[in-house]
Amino acid sequence: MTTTVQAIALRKGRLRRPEVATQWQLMWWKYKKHHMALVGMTMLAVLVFSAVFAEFLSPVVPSERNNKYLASGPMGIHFFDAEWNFHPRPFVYARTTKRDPVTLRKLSVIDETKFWPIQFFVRGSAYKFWGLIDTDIHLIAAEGGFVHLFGTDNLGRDVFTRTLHATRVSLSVGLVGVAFAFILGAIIGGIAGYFGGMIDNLIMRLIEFIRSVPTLPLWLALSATLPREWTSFQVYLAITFILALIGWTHLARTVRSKLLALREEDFTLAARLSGCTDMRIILRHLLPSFMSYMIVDVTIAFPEILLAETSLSFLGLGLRDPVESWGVLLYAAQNVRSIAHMPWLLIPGLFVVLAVLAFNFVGDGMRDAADPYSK
Amino acid sequence: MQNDVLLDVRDLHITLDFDGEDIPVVQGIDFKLFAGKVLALVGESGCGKSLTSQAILRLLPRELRISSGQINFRDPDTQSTVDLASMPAECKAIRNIRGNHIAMIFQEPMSSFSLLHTIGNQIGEVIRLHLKATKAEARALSIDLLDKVGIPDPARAVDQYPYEFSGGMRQRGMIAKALACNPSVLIADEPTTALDVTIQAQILEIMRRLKDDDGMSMIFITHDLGVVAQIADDVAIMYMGKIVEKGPVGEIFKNPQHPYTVRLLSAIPRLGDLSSRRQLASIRGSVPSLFERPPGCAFHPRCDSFKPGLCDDQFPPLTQLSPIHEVHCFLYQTAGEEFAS
Amino acid sequence: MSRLLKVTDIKVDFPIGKAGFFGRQTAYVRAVDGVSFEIQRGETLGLVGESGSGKTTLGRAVLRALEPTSGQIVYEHNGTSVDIMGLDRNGLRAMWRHMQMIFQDPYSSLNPRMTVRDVIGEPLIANKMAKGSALNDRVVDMAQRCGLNVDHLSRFPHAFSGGQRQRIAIARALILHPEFIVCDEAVSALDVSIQAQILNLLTDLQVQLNLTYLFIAHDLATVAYACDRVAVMYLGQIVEIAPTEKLYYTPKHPYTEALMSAIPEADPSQVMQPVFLTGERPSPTNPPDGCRFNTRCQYVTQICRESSPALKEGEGGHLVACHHAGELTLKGALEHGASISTETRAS
Repeated sequence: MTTTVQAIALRKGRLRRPEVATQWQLMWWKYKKHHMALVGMTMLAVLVFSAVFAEFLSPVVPSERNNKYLASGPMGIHFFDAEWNFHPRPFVYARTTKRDPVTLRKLSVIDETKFWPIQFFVRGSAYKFWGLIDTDIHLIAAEGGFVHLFGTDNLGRDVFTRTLHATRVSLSVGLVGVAFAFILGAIIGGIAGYFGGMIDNLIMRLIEFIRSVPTLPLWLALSATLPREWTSFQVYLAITFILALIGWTHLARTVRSKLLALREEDFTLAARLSGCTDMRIILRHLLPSFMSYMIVDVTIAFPEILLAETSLSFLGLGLRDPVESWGVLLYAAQNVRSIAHMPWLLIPGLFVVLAVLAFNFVGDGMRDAADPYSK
Repeated sequence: MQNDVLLDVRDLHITLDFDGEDIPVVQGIDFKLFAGKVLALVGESGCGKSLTSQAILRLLPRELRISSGQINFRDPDTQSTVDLASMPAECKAIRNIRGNHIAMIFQEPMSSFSLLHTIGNQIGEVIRLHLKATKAEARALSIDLLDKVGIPDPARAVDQYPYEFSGGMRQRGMIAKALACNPSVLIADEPTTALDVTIQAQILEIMRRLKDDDGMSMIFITHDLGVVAQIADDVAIMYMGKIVEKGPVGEIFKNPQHPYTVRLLSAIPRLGDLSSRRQLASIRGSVPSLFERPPGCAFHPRCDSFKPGLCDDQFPPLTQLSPIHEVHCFLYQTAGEEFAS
Repeated sequence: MSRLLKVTDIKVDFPIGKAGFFGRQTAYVRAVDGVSFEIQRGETLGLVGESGSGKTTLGRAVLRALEPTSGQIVYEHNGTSVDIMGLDRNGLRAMWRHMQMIFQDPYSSLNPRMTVRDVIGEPLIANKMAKGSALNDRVVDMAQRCGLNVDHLSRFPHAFSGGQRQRIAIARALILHPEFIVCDEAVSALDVSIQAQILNLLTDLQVQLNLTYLFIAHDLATVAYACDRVAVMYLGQIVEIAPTEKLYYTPKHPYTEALMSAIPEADPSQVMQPVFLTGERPSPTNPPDGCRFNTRCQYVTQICRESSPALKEGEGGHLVACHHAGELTLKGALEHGASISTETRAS
């Protein structure tokens, strides 16, 4: 590479005052160039927002049953009525219940003559925001009726509400699981990489052993050992720990290989000659150097743990009522009859897809931005 | 184009497309390569010498392009002149010239060879591609070429892989590959920079033999003035994308005129006066970044003869100090005029 | 001049090839094979050699930045002799306040994530020698001595050119006021005009701060300028040490002669006539018996193939390791060129 080409590459990441840019600023500038990554970031932001404000954004509470709208599909929000008149205030069509003469099931029928306008910031069912603050304000509600954006299940529970609440659970499982994996991986990988030799050898063989065991049977076996009497919160922690137990290996390998490489760099030797202790070298010189790579790994690990938890719960072996993740919601949609009659129950699956995609896009962008000093 | 000129580069401009902004990298350089002669393009990092050679073979990286100028090449097949700059970079004519009539050797012999193919395979590829030879013919020719560049036991070497060779041997292999189709021009981009000094001497000897015995014309790119003195016939000194001085090697070394050339020559250690142990003359400051090009003559911030208002205003026009010695410097404005009249 | 450093019979082995199942090493390459020399206080000793000579390894071994496999390193400090090989980790770290290194690559020897101020000041912090404004003052002082401005200090290394980064590296090496610096190809990666700047800086600082240098380089012309004495290495051993002029003008080892003849002189009227060495450089894993240079030497005789010559002292501090040291008449650096008329090379 000619000097000119190198100068161009180095310059590409920086826009303003490049001389004083820290590594994080350089990374951000490089990240911004990646359009899909920005899209992913926006998607993630939306999901996190819904997770944090789930109770507020939902029209009702998850356990609330609507007898007037059982097992019925998504209700559309309209601005234009059947005659194409524009209504500045969005509305849903009213629903009346009739009984099907043949099956004697209650059916919900659209009445296009009556409107239920959408209200914002309404007082509705009471809830505790994050279990702490008592309030009853919801973002939307239908005046005079109800609104079910994603339909209801056969007990009349609002799928939209349940999905939003599940977002909180799924994302937090991912977060906690990744945190566990991160700590385990960083420590074990760090030991292997810094000390090398026999220790490194043993740890690598252990990692290889763990990775060679098929994951699904391993999870199933581990989660099947969880006592049935455990509270759902205990189960929650146990599940995330199990997932982390498998997920740390990838991170450990990354940390180890980066450490092995960085150990040989001139600036590490210079730091030793300057009188730095091993601990100072690790913390001050080595760790910041591969922090960016570890962050990339974390953004990759997240969807893996997310999918793992979803799969487990879908199979009934993960989280349980009342702690409901997307996977638990999908558990209810397991049989063909449900899917045929109530396909909207699969919407949580769509959220899983969106979350995984978002993390993958973000991870792509971060991987490129992770080393702002290379081309 | 005169009969003994093989390559005539005129007013070549190479521009960088940086996020929509056009940044000049090489700004209007002119030089001629004469048959059987070695032209050295000399300069420090960032002067654009490597990019110039890549431009000749239309091998510029994606963000760089030839924005104007001509690269006139005398095609040995047709004996007519083609302008390489005017054709699309990957057209048939250019691809026919690359490796065939104009060949190039690089600085890093390790990264210029594929590790998965034998040396014979890689040299043979060029031969079969351009000369339409059979596998057996290509192999025989490869062995001849390896012998010509001084690789011992060429019949065995032809089946070996690049990693089995030392650095010097690999560089010889690269020269053999470049010579495969008997090119009229050889471009050597810092071919000895990465080599030990004794190996460098061997490679320079091969190149000298190519020039003296075989009449090969070469463009030799380097920053090492010692190597230039040993191999070149003509020298063009480059600074930040412009040629500041040009002339025969003896004239340039004995009688440098441009302040940059003068300082450059005094900055290199000479073996002749070790006893004096004088301080090396250095040039203050450093080469500015491509994105912060000084106006006018780009060397003026580092020049002791800087004339404010003149040197920072426009780039000095060509001054012909003698029929063979050119310089771009306001110091010689009047001198040149005297000569011209 | 008093002696600063005495190195005796240093050997450095590197493990190569596959480790056994439990990590036991079976094969080694001996990068440095029994090297002994002394450095006098205040001098600049050059160390030259081609790739595979072991000069970089030796430079690091002398500081014990890299563990020598065997040998002795004695450093004269404050009137006492310190046995470097016998020090424990803390003792070694204390000694490194007096012995430092400047690396070749100005791009990888500075932590890109630290500001220049932090880089230069790190040795002071690591050794708990200064804090706060006292630290800042010392950093500013050293930075200015090395040709950097105060406003450079809050920037990051990626903002600087190679020459400036090398100045930062020099400032870092000197902040603790060491006595002995190993310059490991410190100017090799720089442009010609910048090399001259940095060499001049190193010479000035040597006078200002009473420094002793071990100057490792492969460019023979630069070494000739920078050094008082020069040692030539071949395949892990020193083959010749002499004061610069004696080494360059009257070498006594055939390898040195070959090196001198290969230097491209920047004078077009002097066409060089190098001594071409026969054969290839042997691999360090399998050095030849007897004198290591015997496979390529034009003056080789039977004794050269059988026994390895020791480094013996001649007159005027000129040491050579060659069986035929006294008998050969070798050409120096200036005697290899053949004058030609530059007219024949004009176009």
